[in-house]
Amino acid sequence: MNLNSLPPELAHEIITYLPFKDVLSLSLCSKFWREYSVPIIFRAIYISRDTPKAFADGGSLSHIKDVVRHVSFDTSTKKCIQYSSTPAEEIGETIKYYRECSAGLKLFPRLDSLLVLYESLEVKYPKAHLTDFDTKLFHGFFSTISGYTPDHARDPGDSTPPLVTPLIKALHFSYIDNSHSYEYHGLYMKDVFCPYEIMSEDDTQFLDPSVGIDARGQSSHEEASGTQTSESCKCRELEQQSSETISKSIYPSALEEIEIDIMGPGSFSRSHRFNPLLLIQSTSESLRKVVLFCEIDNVERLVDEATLEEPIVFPFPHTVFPNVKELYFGPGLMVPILFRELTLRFPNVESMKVLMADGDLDRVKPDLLGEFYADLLELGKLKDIMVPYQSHYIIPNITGHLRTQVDNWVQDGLPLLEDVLFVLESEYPDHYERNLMEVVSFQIDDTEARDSGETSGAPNWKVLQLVGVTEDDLKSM
Amino acid sequence: MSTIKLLSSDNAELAVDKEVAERSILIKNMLEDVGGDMSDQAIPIPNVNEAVLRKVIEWCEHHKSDPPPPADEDSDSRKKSTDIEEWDQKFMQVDQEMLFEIILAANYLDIKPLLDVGCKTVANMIKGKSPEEIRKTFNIQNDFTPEEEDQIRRENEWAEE
Repeated sequence: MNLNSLPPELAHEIITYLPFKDVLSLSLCSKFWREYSVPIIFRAIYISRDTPKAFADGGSLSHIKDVVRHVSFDTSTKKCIQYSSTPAEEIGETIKYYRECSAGLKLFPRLDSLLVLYESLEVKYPKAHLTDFDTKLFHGFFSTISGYTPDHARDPGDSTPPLVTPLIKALHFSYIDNSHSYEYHGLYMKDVFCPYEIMSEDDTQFLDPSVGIDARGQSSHEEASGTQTSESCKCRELEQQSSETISKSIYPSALEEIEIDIMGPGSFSRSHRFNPLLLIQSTSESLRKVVLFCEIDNVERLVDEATLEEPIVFPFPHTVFPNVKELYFGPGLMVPILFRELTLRFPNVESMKVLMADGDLDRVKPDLLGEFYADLLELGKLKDIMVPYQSHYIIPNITGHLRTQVDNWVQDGLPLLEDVLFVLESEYPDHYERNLMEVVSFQIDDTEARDSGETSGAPNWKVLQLVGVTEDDLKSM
Repeated sequence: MSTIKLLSSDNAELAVDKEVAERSILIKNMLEDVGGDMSDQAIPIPNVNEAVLRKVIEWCEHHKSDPPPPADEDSDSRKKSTDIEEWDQKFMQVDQEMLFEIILAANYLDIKPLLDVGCKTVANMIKGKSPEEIRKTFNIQNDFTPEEEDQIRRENEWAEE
């Protein structure tokens, strides 16, 4: 009797007690333990170009493809693709990576969650004239996984499109823009015509990195353009169809959760950039939870410069999401014109958090906060909120002061409020000189009494003040 | 208090308090099926030898007044804690042969809390060790070719916690 001769159900039982890294070690011990570890190891995977082969018929992991529930695409941290020494190689690798891996997703029948970590190549190689590269890449990506083919490009013999998109319930899209030299063009909804291409081998114009770019990332666009218009170019374009119409048919339609991070200065600003915010435009009914991080530089200036002819438009789908109950966002969206847009899109939110990282509290100006607090009243169904509080002077009775604010909210339009967390800057850093925060929490004492109308006047609040709160602590609150 | 008799696989007859024996759901159900009266007849436990059965009874004796375990949680969920109470830790300080026999017996006799303690003990012996160390600890034969091992290392890099 030894560890290798346990019955399967007991081997499984033991594995459930092991931390993930120990399951990885165990899986290398013997075939017996490999067998019982793989269902746990591959529940969530980073996909690379070798991965689909392993899960396809005849591959070493083909028997467990139904344990895969989550797939991460990552060309940003280079976890999933090979190191490339030239821009042309990196662009080529990225295209092959998205083409092969997006097609590979149909291998996983129980897949319901996707993460895409992408650093914009359009931005990274400004001299390469990668016009609309990101948009094409992700239109290609989402058309592949949605099985969408424009009519004129459809192969009559092909009747089984890979329908991955309807399975996806959770999507986390992280769009990283590392440019620092943007010219500002204002906030426009992306609604321009965009050539649509499928990521297939014969789409040479888009997919062949040698066209339009040489090894140093310099443009050779002029020389190449002659061949692009010739008949040999098999680029499939959808005629006169706006990108918005296309994207409606290829973007996820059954999403319940989305997280969108748009990182980088002014990443919203250029109108011809791929806009991840549009990913949710077809999910109006199903969406339950939204997490948004984005920064828009110089919003105040934009407000000043806006005119009737060129108004500011928040680059967000013009849709109402009635079933979103949870809305979490970074402090960049507390800006009044942006936050009001959120209140229109997500009118039935019950739980709202402003997610703060180290140093974010410094940027929250008191006058901005006043307006934000007032705008909160638009969300009349709020129950739980987490908001920053900032003051440039010490208030002697801070909890009393905050209690007044909470009571005002309840009285003025948020009658359902149950749980309020104010996040404050701490006066004292910790031993490691990290910034710490303080949290003042108000929790309603007796919801039942209030709901049955037995209490009169302001509700009773349990007040709790926590000091020495770190960024990580906040995440779990 | 009524006593019942258990018959081990190697034909040893052990007398046990009914209350203690009923920590085993298998025995409990069996007694219920026959109407509770088994005072004159030993219950055969064909899968468990005397030494192991004595060990299991010792555990049941110590834990006879424990509250019933909470309903089984989702078997898919990963359990975090491998904490084991002090008495159980000492109880499990046995050679590996006995440890695995206890686990098998607990599984057969349907004594969930004992099974949990056994599996946690094994998990704690695996934790923090390299594949080679795990093989040494449990005397596992490495049946992979070097190529297979390479392939597995590559595949494991795709894993996301």
